[in-house]
Parts: sequence; structure tokens; C-alpha cells
Amino acid sequence: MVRGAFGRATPWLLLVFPLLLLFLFLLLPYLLTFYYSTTGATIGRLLNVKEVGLKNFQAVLSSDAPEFIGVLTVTAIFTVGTLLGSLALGTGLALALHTVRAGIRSALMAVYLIPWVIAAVVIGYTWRLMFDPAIGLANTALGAFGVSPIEWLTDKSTAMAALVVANIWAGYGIVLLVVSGALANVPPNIILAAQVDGASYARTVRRVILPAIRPTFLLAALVALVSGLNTFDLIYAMTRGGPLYQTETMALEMYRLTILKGNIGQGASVTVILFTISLALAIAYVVIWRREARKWT
Amino acid sequence: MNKRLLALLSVMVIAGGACSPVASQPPAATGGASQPAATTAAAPVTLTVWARNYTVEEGRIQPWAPGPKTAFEAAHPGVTVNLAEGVGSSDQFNRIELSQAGAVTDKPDIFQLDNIWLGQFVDEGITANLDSNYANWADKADIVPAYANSTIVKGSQQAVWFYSDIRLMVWNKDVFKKAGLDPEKGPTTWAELFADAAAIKAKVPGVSPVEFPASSEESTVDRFYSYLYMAGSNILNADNTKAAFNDAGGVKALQLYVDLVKQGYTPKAVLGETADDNIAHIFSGKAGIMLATVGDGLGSLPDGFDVTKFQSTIGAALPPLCEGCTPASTAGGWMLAINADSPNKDLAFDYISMVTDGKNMVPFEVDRARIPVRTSGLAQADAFKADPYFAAEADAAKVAHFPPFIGKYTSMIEILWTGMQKAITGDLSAQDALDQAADKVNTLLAP
Repeated sequence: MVRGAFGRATPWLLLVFPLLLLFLFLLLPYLLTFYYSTTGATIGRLLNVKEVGLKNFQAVLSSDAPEFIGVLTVTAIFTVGTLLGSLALGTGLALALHTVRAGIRSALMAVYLIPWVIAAVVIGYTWRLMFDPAIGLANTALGAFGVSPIEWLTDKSTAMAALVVANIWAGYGIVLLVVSGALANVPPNIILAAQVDGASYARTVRRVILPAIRPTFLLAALVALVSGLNTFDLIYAMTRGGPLYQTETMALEMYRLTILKGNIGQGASVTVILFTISLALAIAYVVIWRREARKWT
Repeated sequence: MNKRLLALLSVMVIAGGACSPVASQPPAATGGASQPAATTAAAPVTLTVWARNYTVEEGRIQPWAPGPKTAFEAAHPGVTVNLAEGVGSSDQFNRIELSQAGAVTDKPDIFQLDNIWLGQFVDEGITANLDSNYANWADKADIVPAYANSTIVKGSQQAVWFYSDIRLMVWNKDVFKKAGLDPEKGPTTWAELFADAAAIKAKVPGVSPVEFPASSEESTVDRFYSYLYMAGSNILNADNTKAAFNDAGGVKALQLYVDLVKQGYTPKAVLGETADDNIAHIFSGKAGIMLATVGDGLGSLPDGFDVTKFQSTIGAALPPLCEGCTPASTAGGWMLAINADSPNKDLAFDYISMVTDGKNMVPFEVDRARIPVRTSGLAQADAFKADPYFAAEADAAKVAHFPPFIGKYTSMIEILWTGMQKAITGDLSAQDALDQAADKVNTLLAP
């Protein structure tokens, strides 16, 4: 009887330590963030803080330096740009690699994944040099065609595009990896059947391969989306949110309020908003994925 | 099964033990603020000092030690001065703030603070009131009155000046030579500034003729103030309750920045640059003129520079003047304060008194090209002979202004630099940008 009880408890006992770690380093910070978002906590006052209700959210939403709607728009443009670019580049490369022999594919895959394993801050500084108006590769290349130097990172019209390009380069690797894995599992007979029916390669990709990997494609899209939403280090290294908050995403706003201004309460409220958006996207993914999965079963 | 269970429980006990010491350990021995108040020989006291990194740099002259530390410890048996690791400016700000947050156990007895933080720290109750110490302090009369008065906040002395720094314009002499300009003579007026910038632009391709910091950071406003002051403007009104920077003088000063960018003499890239970025460009010859910088080039020479090379490469002078304007510069610098929670305030003040003594500070100030705040230090002009631009710094000191020491200063300057950026990017005119910023500052400062 006792042995049976212990036997039943064993899985829970084994889980206690990892659950404790999960609580300490994941759940507790989340809870504290939610708590701080309703307080007047500052970097100099973290204990015995005053409850302010939703005033921090009100302050963040009504801020005009920068305007919150502007921050939200910048975040959306950066995230969607990164998402579309990463999906296009990652999927395109995966499809291209799928057409070559396995040995060459592995070698090329290793090369293409290099940006993905480099720290984002290193990528940020590398691209900052590439976009340097005086010595950067971008202007040198354009100069060969007679184009005048462009202030890529400090001109309001080009800063965001430059950041998106850099982030696509930093993030397409995960899409490439996930889509390549899915392509390897596509049954060869359906591709052969399409070829026998006379379908071109482009048509086979559009009508057969992409639908076959759709659930995995959705996963890659979600990962790219959340990664774009949370990018901080690359933007910080390249523009620090400038010029004039034109590249200030929610992740940077969170940092600026919390670390630079020391306003823990307002920083936490931005975090809560960002968390809510990420959660909504994750829920949307699960719903869509389940709908897709039902089609296949 | 019992053996497996026993093994499992053992693992859990070990793992639990590994997690628990944080809570079960006694508090680590830290600074004096956490020590008992007694200062007798029987109860050893540690006086903890949180200083900036370069004031405790190994191999360079330090104001804290060995002289003052040894003398102080000899005069106070049982008292040890703990010079904690020095950190950069923003880390220093954060650790002082965090020391009050209850989130960390160690607290300093003495800490070094940027003059612009004083108002905020006083508002937050971080600094100790030093009125009683000042009252009996013989050295009080040695501090230059303008400096001594500036540490009075809300009617009480809250800090002791450590050393000062002054804004100067600097230029790269090699760039000037290539542009056909006299390398020993920087521009003295705005008209000359534009003429020199035009010559550099025409004859030295790939070099920014003029630079100033314009990113979302404190140096953007700090390096702008000298131009604001020379044009007759001010940051706030006399009682620090309203913005004053949007008057005609302020607009004139900001228009200078706008015109330099518009005419292609200053790259828009400055919107992403700090003063440190600008000065690095001056040293490397990537830029010709920097409108204003802390006059500490000699104190922070980059690799490959010695005093001779510094003097032959870099020129420094008072910021150039607009027509009908009066010479002006901006003074900044660092102070020492005592933690309001320190149980050893009098001991801390004794040590501060020894450290800031004019004779003790001069070697450090010479080494780092800082400006003395003591009359006795300023009188030792001979000691500063190694600094080729001490005369220019001394001239600037005579016309220096201080930024306002108010609690909301760090929030206020965020509004100001955003306004400046709006004018530089061309989003708004200089007048509209400063008016908009002034409205926001007035709202911020409203009681």
C-alpha cells in the first residue's frame, strides 16, 4: 500500500526540482512583472511600493515621446517585415537545397545556418558597419552605380528597412531548418505523381509541397513572428531606437523605460502588453494548427 | 523500490540543499552602512566608497589612495577604507539607486555622483544632509564659491565637489592642414566655423567637417548648452520652475545645429552618436571639428597617443561665438556625497575632506585634465603645464554655467533632446521644436 503510494508519487517527486526552477525563473518573474505593472516601482524603490492601479498603462498609452501608437506601428512593421523576409528566404533556400544531393545539401546547410548561430549583437554591429555611410559596403556597392551615399541608419526613410534586412539575415536560419526538416518528410510518391502528371517544378511546389508542409510552415512562421516581436539586441546595436524613435520597438521601449529611466512600473506595463500580444499570437497558432491537423487526420 | 526511493529522496535533499543557502546564509560582510554604528577600536568599521572607474584605476594617479587612505586609517585606528570596484557612469547611477531599493544588501558610505544627479538623489533621500559638517569645516572657504553654492539643494549642503570639467571646442589639426586651414587656429566665430567647414568639405573628402552628439542621450544636451548660453538663453528660469530654452537665444543655438546638417557640414549620422563617438572621430581624423566636448582629451588619450602627439594632432579652444554673443561654456563634474543610511557619516566626511584637499587632488586633476574646484588647486597653474590646453580650460571656467540641479533633470533632458532631434531631422522648425519641448517641460515641472 505504502509502496504503491510512493510509486504513484515518484513522477511528482522527480518533477519537484524542475518545477521549482520553472517557478523561480519563469513563473515568478512573470508574476512580479504583472505585479510591478500596477505599482509605482522605480529602480530606487522596489519594496514597499505604492499601488497605482492601471495608471502605468495609461501613462504608457498616452505617452508622446514616443507615442505608443508609433511604437506599436514600428513593432508591427519590423515584425511583419522580418516574418515575410525570413519565410521567403528560409523557404526559398530550403526548397533550393532540397533539389541538390544530400552531401552537398548538408555542407551548404551548415554554411547557411552560420548567421543563425551568431549572437544578434555581433550581427547588429556587423550590419551597422555594412550600412556605415562613409565606409560601409552598402554605399560602396551603390556608389559603383553612381548612387550618392545614403545615411541608412539615421535617415527616417531607410532606418527601418535596414534593420529588417539585418534581422532577416539573422533569423532566416530557423525557417530554413524547420522547413528543410519538413521537406525531408514529404512522401516522394506525391511529388512523383505530380511530375508524372506533367506539373512543372513551380507548380509542384505550390500545389503539392507547400500544402504538405503547411503545419510545419505555420510553426516556422510563429517562431519568426515571436522572434521579430522580441528582438532587442540587434536594434540596440544598430540604431538604439533612433532616429527620433523611428525604430523604437516595444522591446526597446521596455528597456528604455526600465533601465534608462528607472521606471520599473511603466517598463513592466509595456512588458505585460508585449506578453499579451505574444500570447494572443501563440493561441492563434494553436487554433490554426489544430484546424490544419484535423484536415490531415 | 525502497532503495530507489531512498536514492530519490537523497537526490532531493542534496538538490534542496544546493538551493537553500541563499536564504540560510548570514548576510555577507559588506560596507560600512551595514556595520554597527560603533566606531571604537574594539568594533572595526569599514568605510565603503563607490567611485567612478577611472578614479580607482590601477597604474594611474588616484585621488583616494595611497596617501589619503593611509593617513585616514592611521588617524582612525580600527577603521578601514574599502574602495569598491569602480564602474562607468550609468552603472554608478544604477548601483546608487539600487542600493536604496532594498534589492541589494551592500550600501556605500561615500559615493561619487555626477552633478546632474544631485537634485534627484536629494529628492529620493539618498544623500545625507551635510550642513553640520560644513559648519565646522575649515576647508569650506577654499572651495570656489560658485561651486560651494551649487551643492546647496533645498537649503542644505548635500555634497562636496570632487573635480570639475569644462566644455571646449576641439578640432583635428591634420584635417585642418589637408583643408588648407591654419591648424593652430580653430574657428572663433560661427561665420568662421561655416567657412572652415566648407573648406574641409571641399578639400578633405570622407571627413565630417563638424560633429556634435544628437542621439537620445545626455551628452546631446550637455554639449549644446554652451551655445544656448552664449546666445543669451538659459535652460530654465531663475527659480527652476519653467523652461527658458525656447527663447530667441535658444532657437538661434539650435538653428546652428540645423543649418550645419542642412548644409551638409554635419552628417545626419550624429543622430545616432554620443559625444564619445564624436571625440573618437576627431582623434581618428574622421571628423574635423567637434562643437563642444569635455576638455579631458589629455586625460583620456586613446592608444597610440602621448601628450606630444595629442598636442600636435588636436586643438582646443572656447566654443566659437555667434555675432553679438558672449563667451560661454558649460561646467560639469563629479561630487562626493554621503549615504543618508550610513552610520559613519562623520568619519565619511573626514575622509572626503582629506581626499578633496586641493594639494591631494591636483596630481589627479593634472593626470586627467580636470578642473580644480578649490582655490588652492587653481592657484597651482605650474602643475598643469603638462596639459597644453589648461589655459583654454581656465578661460572656459571663467564663463562656465551649470545645468540646473533639479530632481526631474533626467526626465527634462529627455524632452529637450527629443525636441532637438525633431529640429535636426527637419520634422519641425527650431522654434516649434523648442516650444513643444518647453510645453512638456513646463508640464513636467508643474507642482
